[in-house]
Amino acid sequence: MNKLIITCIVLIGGLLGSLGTLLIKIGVDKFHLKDLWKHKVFYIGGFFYALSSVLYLFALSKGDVTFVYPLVSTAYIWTLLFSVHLLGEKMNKWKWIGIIGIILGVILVGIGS
Amino acid sequence: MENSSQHKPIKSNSHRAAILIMVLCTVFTSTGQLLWKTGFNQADLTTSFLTLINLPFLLGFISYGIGAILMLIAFKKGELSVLYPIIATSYVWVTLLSPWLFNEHISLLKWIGITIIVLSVSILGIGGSKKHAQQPSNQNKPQIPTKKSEVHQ
Repeated sequence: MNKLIITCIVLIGGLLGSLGTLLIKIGVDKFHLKDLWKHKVFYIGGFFYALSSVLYLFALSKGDVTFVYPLVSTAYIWTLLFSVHLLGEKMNKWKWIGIIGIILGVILVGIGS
Repeated sequence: MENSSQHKPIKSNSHRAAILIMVLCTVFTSTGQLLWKTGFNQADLTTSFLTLINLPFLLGFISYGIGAILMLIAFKKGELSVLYPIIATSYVWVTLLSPWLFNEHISLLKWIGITIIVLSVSILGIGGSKKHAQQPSNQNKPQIPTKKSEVHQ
């Protein structure tokens, strides 16, 4: 399959996965865990998250891991932006090192596959 | 989000517990993924999608479900910016198990990659304990003030 199409699928998957976890985090912060199932935000978040997994699996079945994993890392960047700008989380140097390290590690695992 | 105005700082203990729970979550989600892959290999999709209904595939859902519940508990205790990247720990488990399960070779780059992931997750754990109390989070306990006002009535 065309590399451009796979790239688009993985990028959309990354954005949807980040949006999904953001919505789940908002739901978890706002409601008690045992009441979460009553609230829409949990289902919309879960649906986005599940949809992103389906898109990843589809991309992995059509494209090379070497190529797909580094693109999956864009989800970490989205999540970082959402956490800081929408949830008001603060960054410090340890968090930067940790997050950049994880992105680097994922890219290396992908390239090494 | 109208009742999440009361910010409580995340304590370092809670932060570390959240990270550990998140790592445990990845053990279950990875097991789920490996079970799905096994079930997927057993299925014959050219015949029918129904061949996907096999034991490993269904057990995969249970394992993934336990992982999802652990993720919710971790999210309750910690920050999204720290917890989301920890999902990458699942690459470590899958990579370490793949030679045994699928006879796949672990290349040098993969070893370096998973070592960096493990180190980075540890750094996130250490980093969290250095900045406790400076952190506003959206965790809210709206019951406490309400109870006080009820006492006065």
